[in-house]
Amino acid sequence: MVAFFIALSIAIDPSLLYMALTLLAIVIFLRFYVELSLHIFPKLVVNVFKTIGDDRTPIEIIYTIYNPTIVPIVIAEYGLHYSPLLKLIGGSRTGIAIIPPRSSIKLKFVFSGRVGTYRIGPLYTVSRDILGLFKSSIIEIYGRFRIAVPPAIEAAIVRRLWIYTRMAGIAKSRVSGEGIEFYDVREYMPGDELRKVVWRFLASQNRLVVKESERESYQHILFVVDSSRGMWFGPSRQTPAEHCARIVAAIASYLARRGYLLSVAILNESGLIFSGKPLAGAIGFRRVYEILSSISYVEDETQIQQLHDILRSIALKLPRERTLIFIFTRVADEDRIQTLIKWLKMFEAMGHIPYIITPIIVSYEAIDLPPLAQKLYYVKLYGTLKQELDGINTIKGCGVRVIATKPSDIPQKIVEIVELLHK
Amino acid sequence: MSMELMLKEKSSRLVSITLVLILITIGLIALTEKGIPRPQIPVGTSPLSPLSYGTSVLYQIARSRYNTIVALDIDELNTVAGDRCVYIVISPSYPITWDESKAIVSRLLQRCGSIAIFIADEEPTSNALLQYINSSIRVLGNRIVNFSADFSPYPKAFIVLNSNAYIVVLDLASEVVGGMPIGVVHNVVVIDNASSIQGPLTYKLRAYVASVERISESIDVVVIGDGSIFLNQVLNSNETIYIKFANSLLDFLCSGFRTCTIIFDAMHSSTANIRELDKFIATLSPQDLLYIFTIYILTFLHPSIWLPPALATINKQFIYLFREPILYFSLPLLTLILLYILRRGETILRDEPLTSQRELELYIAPELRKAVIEERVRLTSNDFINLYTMVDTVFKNLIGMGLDDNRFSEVVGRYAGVEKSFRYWRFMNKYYRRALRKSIWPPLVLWRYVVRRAVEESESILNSIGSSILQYTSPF
Repeated sequence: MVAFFIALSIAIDPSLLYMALTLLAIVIFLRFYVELSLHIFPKLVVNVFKTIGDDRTPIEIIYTIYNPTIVPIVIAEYGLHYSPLLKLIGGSRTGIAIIPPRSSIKLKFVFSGRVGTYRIGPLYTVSRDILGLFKSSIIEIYGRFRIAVPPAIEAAIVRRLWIYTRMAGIAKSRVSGEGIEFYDVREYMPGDELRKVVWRFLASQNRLVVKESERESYQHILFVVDSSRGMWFGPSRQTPAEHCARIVAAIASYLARRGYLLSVAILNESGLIFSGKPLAGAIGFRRVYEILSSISYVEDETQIQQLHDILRSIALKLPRERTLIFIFTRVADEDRIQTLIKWLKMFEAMGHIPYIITPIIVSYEAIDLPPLAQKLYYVKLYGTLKQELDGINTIKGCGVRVIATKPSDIPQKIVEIVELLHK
Repeated sequence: MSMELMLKEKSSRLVSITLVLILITIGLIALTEKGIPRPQIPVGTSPLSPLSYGTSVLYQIARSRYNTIVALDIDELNTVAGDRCVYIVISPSYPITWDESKAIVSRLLQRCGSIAIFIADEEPTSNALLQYINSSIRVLGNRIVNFSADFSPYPKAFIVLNSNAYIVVLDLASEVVGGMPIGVVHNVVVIDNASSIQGPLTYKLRAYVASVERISESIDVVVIGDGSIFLNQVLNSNETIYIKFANSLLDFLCSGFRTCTIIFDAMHSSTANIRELDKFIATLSPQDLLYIFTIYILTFLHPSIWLPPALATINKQFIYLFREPILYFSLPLLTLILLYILRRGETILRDEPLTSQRELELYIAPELRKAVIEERVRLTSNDFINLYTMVDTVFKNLIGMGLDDNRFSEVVGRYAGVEKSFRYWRFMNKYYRRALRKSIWPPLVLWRYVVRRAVEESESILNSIGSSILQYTSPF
């Protein structure tokens, strides 16, 4: 067609030929450029640098894209896909990048920190010519990967637990010297046995310190954190799943120091993640802490692992010794309630002591509302509230232990149960 | 970090087909406005002519080695430059006048370090140029024919150039006099009258057909009494000697100058309208006819040829159709049906920006939450009943009695004040009965304000006894 127009211009006025050829050359060049850039994209060298702290610190993802060719990428539209629960607070989800030849650019994305495992990527681009006449198909230049954000250990909660247990007299002061597992060193205090003094420390630093051992305790404690879809309702960072993970982290920090054997299980629609055999002390806490960062929102709605199967898997993994089981889950519908009752009864029959800690979803959703709006939200969702409370009553009525208290009181309640049982 | 690259699909697509169609329509209208094309075909020995008698092949040879231009007008000589300029004239259709010679030579001398003029002509049409530069060479315009081959007009010439001898077959060549001869034919008959052999005939043992002359330090001239050896049909033939000769001649003319510009004279070549084909069709080869036929086809494809008659015909048909009322009404309907058929199953793709990641915050009732935050939530009597039930439950859990108990104000009054408690108790029960429709008083209730007031007062009373409406969710 273009050749036809050129021929016409020759026939009419040869001077038009130059203009026709120039326009044709521009169009061909632009088209050629887009085709060329399609061959350049696979040659781009993409590296990712991640800065991940706990859920209180922002997550920084930096893509470094290096163009090793001598052809510049003039206009590359880019876009980043990521887990919908993440909130971008720095950078732009889509934009336009220019990558000069033999140079690199950095694309920085900053997300608000949230407990859990989230998907980042793919990073994809579309090449365009300068005039916007042509564009390529979407090309993925870096695939997806996962990031795991652990919960912050709230020192205030841990301190409050120590004060509460000491003042209420439900826990004696830490017993050191009974175990064999090394825990820490501390300054010498009158009354400490001389065999515990670290003489090397005295020789090198002229300080009198004593070795502390972990208190040996054989009480097994299992935390089961439900991170299925229903547990992700509420404002970002204040959902029941994240709150439960933070609570478990704080309680585990306290109980690890007290020498309990800890393990954790994370369940959602995709299945169960189990920390393995119960471990004591710092190792046990670290294992629990790592597994807590595995809570995740299952985006694929076709994945439905039945609660029944998950609870059966937990039952098979439980130790033979008496175990305190704290299940953080919601009691939403009748089927779920019946499954929970059945399996908790089963756990009891196996000699364990199961508890259900159930968050009231409406209270989580209203957490960031102004005071009056908070109450009006409760009023408007009275039906849902009542259904949840009725569910709790049903479970309680069947003799299952339930902890349904204010979120701020949950750690205290759990520690109280553990310590009183052990006393 | 490892690199994960994936090329999913390699394809490109035009942004908008509609835009292209609009541009084509505009182009068609613009071309129609330009009028019917009148293509001209260069005839004779024009360097632009690809026909058998053109010299476009020589032009291509020169262009492949030197900076080469075609001068269609004298003013085009204003743009040439170089240490050496070579002006080539091959069998011009029109005589070069004295004024033209003056203009050509003066412009070239102004813009070039030195010039060389090459004339290949069997007619004396270029002699004015030779005369202007004070050259002694002249093309006599007679005809040299073979004596030994029945007066064949194709004598063999020996031309010496750059220390090489070239034997070329001339065609109706003319004798060249003056200068230093470099080309000669032997044993020939010279016919004075170029158009007929009826004139006086002269036998010559040798006749000169090519000469060179150095006019000054800056002007050289080379003349060959025949232009036919540079025609396309000769240079395209299997005889490579002509190509070699042409290359050698160009080197000779450029004399080793680094920046040599070769100018082909096309201003003295004639052109013919394609409609006057009959005048020269006899001289055309099959290849020439194909070329002219292509131009013919392109001329007929020009929108100014077919678009106006096509539109006129369509217009006439429409006028005919619109005379009939049935057709008048049914045509729009048919158009709509056709449009529906054509567009059925069509997928329209727009050039849209990349899809942006959607961020989620999950709520049981997101719209309600938004309405509550924006204070545009609709409150009804049902909401009052819900509030009453919630507050009632909290009070029962706290003090062991509900809002319906007559001793309520007395017990709660110890903490919140008796009068305040009584007022609150009366307010709550009055509107509770109204919400349940057990009472018609007050007849007109703005539930929006009543519920808000009830919430605020309930919270105030509960706060005074160390509780809150929110305690409803933690009764265990």
